[in-house]
Amino acid sequence: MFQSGMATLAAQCPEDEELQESASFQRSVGARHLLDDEARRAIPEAKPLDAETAARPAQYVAPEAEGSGLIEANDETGLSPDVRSLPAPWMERASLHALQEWEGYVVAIRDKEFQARLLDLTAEAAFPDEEATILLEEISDRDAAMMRVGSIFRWVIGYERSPAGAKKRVSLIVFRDLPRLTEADVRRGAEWASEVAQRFRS
Amino acid sequence: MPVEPEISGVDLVLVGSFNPAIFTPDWFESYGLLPGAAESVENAVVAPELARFGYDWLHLQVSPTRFQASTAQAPLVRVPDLVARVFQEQLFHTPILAIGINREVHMRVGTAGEAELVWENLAPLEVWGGEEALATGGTRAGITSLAVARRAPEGRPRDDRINVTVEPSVRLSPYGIYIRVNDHYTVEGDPLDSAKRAADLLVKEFDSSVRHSDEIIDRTMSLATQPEES
Repeated sequence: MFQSGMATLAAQCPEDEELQESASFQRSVGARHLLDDEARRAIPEAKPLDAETAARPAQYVAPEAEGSGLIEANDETGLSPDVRSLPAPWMERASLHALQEWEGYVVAIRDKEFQARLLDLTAEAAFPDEEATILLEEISDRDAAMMRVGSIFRWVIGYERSPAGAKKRVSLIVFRDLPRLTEADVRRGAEWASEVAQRFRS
Repeated sequence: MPVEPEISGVDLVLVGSFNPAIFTPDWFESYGLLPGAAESVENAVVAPELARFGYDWLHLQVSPTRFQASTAQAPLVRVPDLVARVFQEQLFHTPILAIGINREVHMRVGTAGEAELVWENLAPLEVWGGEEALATGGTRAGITSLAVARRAPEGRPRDDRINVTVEPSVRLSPYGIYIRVNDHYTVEGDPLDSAKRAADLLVKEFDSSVRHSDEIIDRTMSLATQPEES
């Protein structure tokens, strides 16, 4: 609802410069320039995950339990005090932990690059007040083919660790495959946008 | 986070009524949910009682009462996006009773002293007879698993709860600590349209749930630098 509401809000308030322009700074050349020189040198080219870093065959199975957690605090699990939770199979794969994460949406698409508005999730920013121009070669071929103005993506920068312990910095952009909006979703988004716009005007 | 996890991920669990035989890689690919799944999945098992496979960033496991989708790869939001699409676009009549957003990390502190501070602040050994009483065969013992539950957080339904488990890590040694935060949501109302409500809940709550879980993890790991409570 936030994404559809923000786009509707911007359309309803063309006169609002603060809403239409990035607030703090403009970035006009390449996604890598969002970082300082040291960080930019340290980060390799954005790549999709290497198949060789995928998990070994699973060695453990998480213990079954009622409820939505693997083990609940007040469940009678029957485990002896010496038995601990075993790692789930998905933990046997390479792990990428995000040190920095943005959510962005596409505002313009050009021949070899696209422009996006970014919301800093790590800093818990309230508004998408950053902009970036990102090369199309930074994203997967499938995402590049399906991308449209308004498409939403996540950009994460962090360390990927293989099960063997190897560690590397990774920058990854992934477009979100969100559930298709229903008429009710669009109507609720428009109602929210109208309500917020009214507050700005009053 | 004050200590960066070496293993970090999220495990999304839906409790309800499912038909595991549906969840084949071909099914996911045919509906545009997982491109190329039919060709690239690993360790696939599909049977009437269990469906299970690994795909790129995803691990999926489905039994008649649990649907479980997990990842150790950021961005974590790919998991709820996929699950929401499954139950909002395709299987919208599936009865779903509860959702668990489980945030799990394995972290390593730098020294034995820092690990000791975490365990001592969580559960002082004097309560359990002191370090000497817990030593067994020359190996120091202590906490094997610590679990805390909180009911109905922040105005949510009465049966919602947050369960936190802290244990020595079996993956990271030495000085490894494992923390799991289970954020349990009940899906209220008529089970026949519960799938849509579950999908909406996932899209709306996932990011804030993970953020809240990370705050709990940060507070726990900050004990590594705090003096023991007297």
